Amino acid sequence: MEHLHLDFLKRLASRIVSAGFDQAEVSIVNEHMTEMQVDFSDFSLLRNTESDQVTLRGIMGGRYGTVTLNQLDDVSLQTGVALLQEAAQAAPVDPARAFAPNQLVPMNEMGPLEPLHYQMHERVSQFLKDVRDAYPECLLKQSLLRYIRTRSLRFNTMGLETDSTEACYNHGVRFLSKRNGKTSSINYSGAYASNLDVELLEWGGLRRAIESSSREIAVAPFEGRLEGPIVIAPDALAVLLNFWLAHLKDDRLISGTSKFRNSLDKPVASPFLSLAIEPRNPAFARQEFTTEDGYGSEPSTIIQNGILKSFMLSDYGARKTGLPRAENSGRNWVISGGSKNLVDLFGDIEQGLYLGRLSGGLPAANGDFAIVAKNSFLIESGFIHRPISEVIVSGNLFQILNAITAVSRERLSDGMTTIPWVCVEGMTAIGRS
Amino acid sequence: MLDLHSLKSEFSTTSGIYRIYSEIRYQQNRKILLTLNNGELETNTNETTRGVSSRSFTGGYWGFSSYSNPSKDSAVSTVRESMRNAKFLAGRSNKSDATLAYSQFGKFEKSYLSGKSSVSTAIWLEFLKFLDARIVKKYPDLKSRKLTLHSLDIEKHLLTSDGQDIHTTVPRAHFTISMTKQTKHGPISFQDTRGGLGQLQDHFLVLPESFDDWIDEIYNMTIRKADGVAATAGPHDVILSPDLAGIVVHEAVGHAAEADLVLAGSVAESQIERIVASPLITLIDYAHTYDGNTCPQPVHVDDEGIPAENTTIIQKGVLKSYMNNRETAAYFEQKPTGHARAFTHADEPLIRMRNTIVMPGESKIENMIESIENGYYLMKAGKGQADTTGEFMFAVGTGFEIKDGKIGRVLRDTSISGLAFDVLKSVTMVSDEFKWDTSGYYCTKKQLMPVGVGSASIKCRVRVGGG
Repeated sequence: MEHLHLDFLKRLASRIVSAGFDQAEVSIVNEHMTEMQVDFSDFSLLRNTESDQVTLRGIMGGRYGTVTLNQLDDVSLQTGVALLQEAAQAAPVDPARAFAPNQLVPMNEMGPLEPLHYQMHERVSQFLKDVRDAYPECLLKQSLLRYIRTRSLRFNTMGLETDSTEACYNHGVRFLSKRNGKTSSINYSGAYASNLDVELLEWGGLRRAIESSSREIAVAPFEGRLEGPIVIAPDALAVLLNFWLAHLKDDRLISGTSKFRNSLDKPVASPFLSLAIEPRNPAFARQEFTTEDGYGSEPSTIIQNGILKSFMLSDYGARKTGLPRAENSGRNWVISGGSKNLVDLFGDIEQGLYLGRLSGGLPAANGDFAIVAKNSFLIESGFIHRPISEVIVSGNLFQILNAITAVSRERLSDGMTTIPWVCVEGMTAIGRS
Repeated sequence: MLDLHSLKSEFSTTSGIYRIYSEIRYQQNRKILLTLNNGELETNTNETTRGVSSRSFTGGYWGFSSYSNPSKDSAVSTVRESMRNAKFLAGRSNKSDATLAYSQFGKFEKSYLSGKSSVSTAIWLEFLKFLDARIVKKYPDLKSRKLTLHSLDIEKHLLTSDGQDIHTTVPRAHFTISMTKQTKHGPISFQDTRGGLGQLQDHFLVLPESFDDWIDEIYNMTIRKADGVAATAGPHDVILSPDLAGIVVHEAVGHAAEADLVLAGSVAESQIERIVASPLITLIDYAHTYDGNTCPQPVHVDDEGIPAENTTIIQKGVLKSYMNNRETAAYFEQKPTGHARAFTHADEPLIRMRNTIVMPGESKIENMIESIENGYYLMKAGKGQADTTGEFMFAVGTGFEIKDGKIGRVLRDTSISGLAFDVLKSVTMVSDEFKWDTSGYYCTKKQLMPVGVGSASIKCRVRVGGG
């Protein structure tokens, strides 16, 4: 394990400088993963993987190169440095390329440092029993309980040294429910935890999703057209938000195709929406110690009561666009809860749609989208009424966040994000006729 | 490179002593990705991932282990750990009747590397810059453009405890040009991709001027799309072009016929020998050769050492077979035909399609268009999803109106959706022309996987759009 030491990275950086680079940066990510897999409600596979990923970066006369490899032998590293030279020599001079400066980033360590195989097996066995007993109609297509430990080291010739270890468990499940030959639509649920203290069925929104799956067996095609309010579940909201947030990131802002280039401190969403990034929130099993470009991660506010407060740019993106750099890599979302509890959120709706999951393509460049509503229900007279299929929901990505009329007090946390349910006007649902 | 042959004797002895079926695999994936975004180098990736892994089977359970630094020591460790992992599960319960289909094949070696010398990143970057400059000069009205070169070479060496010794190398390379035009409806984009089996130098080491016609085509479609109309939402008679039909059928029908998903309750469960599509539809997953030519993703022997054979999934509308691995073949008492594939050395083999084709029929595309009074000719699959109930939805990158049997205005982005078997039952014409998709399609099922997808054009009834 000689390579998991900052001295190894320093020697490698010196080698890059010796090859003619003005600045060099080396990072190594060592990952151990243990995965216990269930297929069709029975154990099938126990898998462990051990991997190293070495990334070499260099700047030579303003030209930037990067090479990634997973070999640490001398010949591979020599080849890597040669490829780095080739990459930099091929690149244009770009004054925006720079490495993170020397800064105080304390060595961090969180989570269990070794997988607990026996406890993993017990938890999964109990989960299979719990599902069999409480939800006999549920067919577990696949359950993956993973232990993931990641150690990340970085050194650059600006003097930056970081070393952190993060470990957690992740449980992902795909399932459907079946009765008398009729099945519900497939559904998914996933969550992170820093230990195995809690039964798997209680992680994230899994129990709620399996309960819903049982109701969805009675699904019937939706006929007609609905322009009433739509309640969007946290997982579905996350999918839409991901597309929306892309307009605050490097690709869109650098290429000039961002919708929000000139919207800082201006309204971009409904005043009901507030989104913060909390990379070190202790409630999260997956935290972030440093950004992807080596800065210590700090919390940030993206949207506050509908006003855009930050972009989500990397250090490079910030230099390229002249906009501020993000304080984090943007993965630990916390969306503020609202004033209504879920019962009231539904209770105010005479006729509408509960959108459990989205299936389909990306929004077009102008934000228009049409998706299939899966694991979804009609809302009538304030109650979730009946499951529906073959319904297309369409709208415009940019208008949706402006059309949020209520946010639930309850929020779903999956160990990495915390997201409420929201009620939106202005989307159209069309059935098959 | 790790020479697995040096481990052959030790591997056979270890698996023999414990009477455990085992595999050991060395694999290297080499990826190149170059992206020029509005003339600026956005991505310059040259990534080599190699490692060694082992998988073992006992008592109905699998164990797996992998290391990214392949050496004799790490290879031996993977075998021991995979056996230990399998035994860990088997020691806690037992699927006593679980077994595997076995194979007698022996040694096989095949490389699809052409031997043409590779070209430096600098030259490829100059190539992209040259083409980008031509686009800017000729079409200054574009809001943005993006040029991407992408290649992936996968080399695998597999030994199995029942005696297979398989060494293959399969490369593929693609080139994508994307253009965006600002319109009153917002930015409108169009992109196209070329390439296939082989490395970058096999496909694109030609005079840059030879891409002029292709660039003109992409620009013209971008401009036409910018003036395009929205499709009218609802069920319509449509023609799905080969690239769109191939991907939709792969996702919505092909996956449902993968035996592991059948066991999990897919829509194809208990449908063998039943009518699931129009009699005009025959769907075959080819292993490596179609009509005398090598397929885009040739598989001669899979990652369990099983010889790859063509699998007829649907024949004249009747579901004929599932796609199996060793384990499901034994379960369904079918012959395994080489569908188990792993994306990287750290991945276990899963049941995957290879080169799935909706076979050509007898109709002329002109007659198919003439037969539609009011519908659409739809092309280019975007992102989409299908689930095991067969319900699918795909973005459609472009298309045309068909009015009174004639091609009309270009469409802006739209989508199609429906139930796979219902849509296939509605097919009334299949074209006599066939095309491979050239977009370099990757299928996702726990792992990524490069696949070949091809089809004839099909006339069917499907839901278009949503607004």
